[in-house]
Amino acid sequence: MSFISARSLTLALATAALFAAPTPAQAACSDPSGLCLEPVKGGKWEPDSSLSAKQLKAKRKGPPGRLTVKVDNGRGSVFIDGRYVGTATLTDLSLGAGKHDLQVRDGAKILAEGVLTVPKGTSVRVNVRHP
Amino acid sequence: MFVPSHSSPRRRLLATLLAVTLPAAALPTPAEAAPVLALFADDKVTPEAAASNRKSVQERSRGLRKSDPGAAAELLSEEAGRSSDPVLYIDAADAYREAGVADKSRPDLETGIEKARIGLDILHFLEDPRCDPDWQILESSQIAAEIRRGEKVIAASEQAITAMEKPTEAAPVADEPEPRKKAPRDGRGLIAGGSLLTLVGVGGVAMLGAGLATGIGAQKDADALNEADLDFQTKLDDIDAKGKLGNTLAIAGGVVAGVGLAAGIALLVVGVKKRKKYRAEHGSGENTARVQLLPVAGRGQAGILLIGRF
Repeated sequence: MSFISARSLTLALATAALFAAPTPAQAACSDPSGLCLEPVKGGKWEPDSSLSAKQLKAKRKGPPGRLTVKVDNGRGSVFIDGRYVGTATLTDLSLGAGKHDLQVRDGAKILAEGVLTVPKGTSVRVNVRHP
Repeated sequence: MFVPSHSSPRRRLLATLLAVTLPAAALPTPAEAAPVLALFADDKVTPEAAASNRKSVQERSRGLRKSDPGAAAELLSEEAGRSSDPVLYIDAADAYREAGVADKSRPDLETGIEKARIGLDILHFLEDPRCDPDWQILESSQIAAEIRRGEKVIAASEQAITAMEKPTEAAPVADEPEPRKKAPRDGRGLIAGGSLLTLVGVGGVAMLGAGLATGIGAQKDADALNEADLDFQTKLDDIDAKGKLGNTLAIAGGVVAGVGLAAGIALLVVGVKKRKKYRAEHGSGENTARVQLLPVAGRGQAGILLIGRF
């Protein structure tokens, strides 16, 4: 006695394959800066730029945003505004809205660095390429 | 502090240590892990303050590392995550390495490598101009040495993993003592046993003969007694005792002779047959069993001589 027919099994497998396929946001990052920002209104990535000490200390207003950082094909630690915040993958990290100094590195190797703008109350997703 | 009943002893020990050493209010909840604390903390972190915190953690873990490096690794890792201290990350990595080597645990070694890498990430970042000047967790003069230490821990852990994966060479087979050679089932044991029993049987025959002779002699002595003699009764009693002894000897000898000869001859027959069969199958050797039963006669003696070679 079979509880699962061949047809329903095929359908289930096809559905699973559909869900398993990488979404555009999860695709490998090909940006020369090493970081790809998922398009979001107000979100901005400025590679190689940095914030001044005054900008870093500026009080952030409004509801915080959320940041998710993934590193493709490897690992990396994430530093925001000059401090260690965790090792990728970081999911929904609460972050004040506005500009943030971001660096992702694996040991001595810098994978991506620059200034990331996080819009108010919005989730921002970035993919970092590991060479 | 709530510790789930199904948690491991190592986790319970760690939890107890934390409960004893840290005020409950100071404990971060999982949601308040290092990243968020570090991110939103505007507080200044100086090398001295970090060193003080590090020293207390290292002291707590020191005793544990000897007895339970795994628990020490978890303690160090948790504290490293809380303070983002690269030195503690490398300490945790080293403790994981110790635990991994002790328990032959690849996951422990891999966890240790990742902790050391996090430590190295932070150490390298501390030399980066993007590092917050108010977040100086280590003296700049110590950074290079800690980087070298972290790299050594990684190398040692990777080496331990490689050694663990290497197929274990077949251990030299210890010279096992050769199993005791079993005696071939060639009937020699039966022949030996049969010969012995036959000998006992012959002994029984001798006892029987001696008993009969004693009895007959006693009978003759009793017949020769004169009832008129004053010591008739005394002599009769003596002869009676002698006769009874003869009878006992004869009966015992008869039994022994019967059993011994019957069993012995039977064993001899079976043994000889088996021996012949064995020799037919395996060929005759030097150590051939041989049993000879020879009559012996001499002055004042007569009997049977049993010669056996097994």
